[in-house]
Amino acid sequence: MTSLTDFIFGPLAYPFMIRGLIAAVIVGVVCAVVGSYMVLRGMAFFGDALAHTVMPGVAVGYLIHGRASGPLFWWGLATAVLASVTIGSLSKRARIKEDTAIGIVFAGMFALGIALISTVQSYTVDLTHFLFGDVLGVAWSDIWLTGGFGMLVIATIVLFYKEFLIVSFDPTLAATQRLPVNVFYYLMLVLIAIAIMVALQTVGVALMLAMMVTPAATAYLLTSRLPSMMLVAALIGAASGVLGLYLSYHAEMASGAAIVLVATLFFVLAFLFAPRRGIVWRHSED
Amino acid sequence: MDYAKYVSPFSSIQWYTKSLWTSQPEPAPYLTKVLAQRYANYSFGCSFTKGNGMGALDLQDDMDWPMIASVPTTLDPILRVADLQVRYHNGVALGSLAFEIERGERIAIVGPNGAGKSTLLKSIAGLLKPTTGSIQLNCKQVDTRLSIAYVPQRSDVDWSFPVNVSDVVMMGLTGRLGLLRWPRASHRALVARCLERVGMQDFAKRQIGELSGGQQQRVFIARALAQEAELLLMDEPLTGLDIRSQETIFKILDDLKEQGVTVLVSTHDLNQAAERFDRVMLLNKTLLGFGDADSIFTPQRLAAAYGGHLRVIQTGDSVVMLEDGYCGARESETV
Amino acid sequence: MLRNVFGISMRRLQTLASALLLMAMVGFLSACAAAQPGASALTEDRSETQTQSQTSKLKVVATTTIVGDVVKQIGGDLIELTVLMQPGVDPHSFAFTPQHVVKVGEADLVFMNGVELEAFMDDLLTNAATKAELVSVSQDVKLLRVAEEHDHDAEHEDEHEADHEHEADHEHEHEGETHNEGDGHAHQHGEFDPHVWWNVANVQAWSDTIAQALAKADPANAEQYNEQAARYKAELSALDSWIKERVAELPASERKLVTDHDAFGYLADTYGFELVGTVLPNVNTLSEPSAQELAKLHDTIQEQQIRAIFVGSTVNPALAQRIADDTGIKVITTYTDSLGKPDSDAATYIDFMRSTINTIVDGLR
Repeated sequence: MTSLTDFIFGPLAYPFMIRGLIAAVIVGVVCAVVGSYMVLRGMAFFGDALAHTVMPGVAVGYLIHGRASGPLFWWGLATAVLASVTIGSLSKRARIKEDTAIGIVFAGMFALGIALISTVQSYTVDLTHFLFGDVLGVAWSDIWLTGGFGMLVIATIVLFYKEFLIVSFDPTLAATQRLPVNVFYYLMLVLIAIAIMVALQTVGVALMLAMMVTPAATAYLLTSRLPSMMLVAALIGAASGVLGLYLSYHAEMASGAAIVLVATLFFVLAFLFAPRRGIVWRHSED
Repeated sequence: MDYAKYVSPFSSIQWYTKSLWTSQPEPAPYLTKVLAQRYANYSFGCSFTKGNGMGALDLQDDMDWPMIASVPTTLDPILRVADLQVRYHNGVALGSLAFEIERGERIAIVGPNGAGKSTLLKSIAGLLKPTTGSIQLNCKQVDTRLSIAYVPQRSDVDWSFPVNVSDVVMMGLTGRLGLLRWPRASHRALVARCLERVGMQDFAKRQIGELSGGQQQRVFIARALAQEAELLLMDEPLTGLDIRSQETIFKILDDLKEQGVTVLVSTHDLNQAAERFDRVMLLNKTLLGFGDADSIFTPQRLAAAYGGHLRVIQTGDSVVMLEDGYCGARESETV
Repeated sequence: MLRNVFGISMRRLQTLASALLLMAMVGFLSACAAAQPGASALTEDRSETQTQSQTSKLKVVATTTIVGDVVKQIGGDLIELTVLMQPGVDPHSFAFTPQHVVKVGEADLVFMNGVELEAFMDDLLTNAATKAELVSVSQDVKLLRVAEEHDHDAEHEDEHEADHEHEADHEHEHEGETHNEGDGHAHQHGEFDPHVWWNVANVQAWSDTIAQALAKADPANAEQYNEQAARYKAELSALDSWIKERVAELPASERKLVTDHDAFGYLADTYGFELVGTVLPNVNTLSEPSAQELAKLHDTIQEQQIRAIFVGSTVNPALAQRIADDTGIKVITTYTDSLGKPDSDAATYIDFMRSTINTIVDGLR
């Protein structure tokens, strides 16, 4: 059994571990903050859907630029924002429920992407895997990109916090206060799309999805105010990332899976033991 | 005012940043006023709509929004509705309504399910656009839209949302604060005072889902107070409350009446409507009557409104009205 | 909000945005359809027009580009060959189109790599309802097992006689491009490594199998097939010697290979390379390495002074690139599961082998 110092500092001898830890923390924090809104609005599928709706954009980018993942990211980002706004538009104007709109746009755009590729070349491979990252494979440039966009997203959420709050909780009050409800509704969707895309490119699909939803759901059980919910979610997201990577190192587990498992474990603990809302707590009160 | 001066978005930004630290801002540049006309205090955080020369600028409001001629006088009725019609995709929700409401009145709106009570309240609040007709508000604030507070039905609120009582009341100040501004001590004090007036100061940090029905209503009234609303619209606030909670609400409404706040309440309880309100509006898609309870609650009018679902029983001197337990479909809404 | 300034309301902007999106989608689809030459994206090898050759030539279909090239070398002008995959396509995640089904339906003979490389074969055959005979060219090849870990010792060797019917009946784990996780590759192997073409002797065995099958289907030209097979085998022998010479230029300690995933089993076994490590564990390109495995690879590269990581051209090289940057070595791309385009330096199997060996040997020097 190695000593505690070895246990903690051993992995840090490898540059890829250091980068991975930083990326996991940044992604954990940004996804948790954005994910809080997604969980409250019932948009948990949004992340998975958006990861697939970027297909046509990536397909066009691939046809123009080839395999370079740099341009693919920008194409993907533009498509994600467009898809996000379309979903919002459908659910608002056509009075379709949000998850139905998500399903429609997801399936349609994914198929469009496949069709584009398969008619021009017979490459029916899923190109998005050129775009999806791996937490162990982040470069310093990815970290700058993630950090930059992450700060932008968080700054916007903080600056317009009360507007987003009112639009999420009580749109009718927002309308009576003559708040431009649509502007903030779509702005939130755009921010979510950006956060999703950046997380996708840095850590890949499975990890992005889990980081969006699970820490926020855990924090929801533990807090009663939105600011504290976002803060607790960010802490849990970051902690899951760090602990998961260490688990991956010491227990030889795939890194993405390890982080997701740690986050899920946090959720299960909260589900059982949260004060006032946990199952165990409620049973002990009876 | 030299409105002909060319003003770019840049000078609006300059003006805005300067206004952040001066207490007496200069008149806003043209572009700022254009945007502000639409969003009033909301856009730029200073209350320059109060006496800043806005009235001199004769900008057209939205052409399709037949509302608001702001005449700040206390002599006119606070609300005047003329020929109001609201049509949904599946039919007419409200047709040809016309009435006036005086300042300080407490009005009950009664009618069966699907009569359009919620629709009327939402139209007055500005949440629904009427198909034709006009809604005229005469309020002290230059932008009359901010003088209206709308308290939604309890079923329309997401009670599991992570906000506490103070947060909800603070939301009423969002418009007043404006963009990029944060609540200061004075705002928090205002919130505390509003909570005191409804007796909810001890619950300030509770999450809203932990409150009882009556307490939830009081929180929303506190929010309306924070908005300094002159017209309070409440959508079925007394439904499902026990007698004690209802009394508490009425006490608060009495308090508001003394302040001159006009209150419109939609309710199912006809007896209560007759006894506790100044006037009663009987509604079933059209206005079937508006006046004292005695003149409105006649068997003929009630039959016309409730279509046989209401029994009127005369017991000696008084009249007892029994509504059939008919739960019809809710009005569909597109808000 | 912009109404008074631009005269457009938010509502109109939304309508405009939705309309533009729809138009863009329709535009893309029609542009692509128009750009199409109308036919499928198949490589066809014809020396006569179809109507004339319908009764005279044998219709042959090959699955991968590599198999296709070998069949072409042996069949030459005597057959009408169609290769299903285009250069650069990954055989593991290939999905066929209706045109492919038609071609297989019309064929007299179908050649495939076998050893569970073509996961789509079952479905394709069912749909095509062809009268063609299915031949797995690897049926007489000495197969190597896929090892759990890459040891320095030789992996187990087994003789695996499988006739084509057995192959076709195998339950393939089908992972196509619609996999939710986004990694479209389905590098799903059974117990045996299917990349048999890295051992030239195996391709010689292929030649025999192909010649036999062609002769059986077209007895009239049996002699020519056998002649061409013999000639090709001689070329392959020359290639084999050349490879051994080139590899001999490297001292024994310098023959260590670090690859992105396990594609070079046969190459290592036959020509004396040492498979030191892979970025992705095992043969599965879908798998993720644990941090521990990457750390071990990092250490291995430094301890054994590896010079380069070799990656295939169809895999995302990001992870390999990171390790290479961290340890200061290069990432070198090679051809792996497919030939190159006709104008590239790997248009035929022999060129493909030469190119790869050159890349590897030069990279390790």
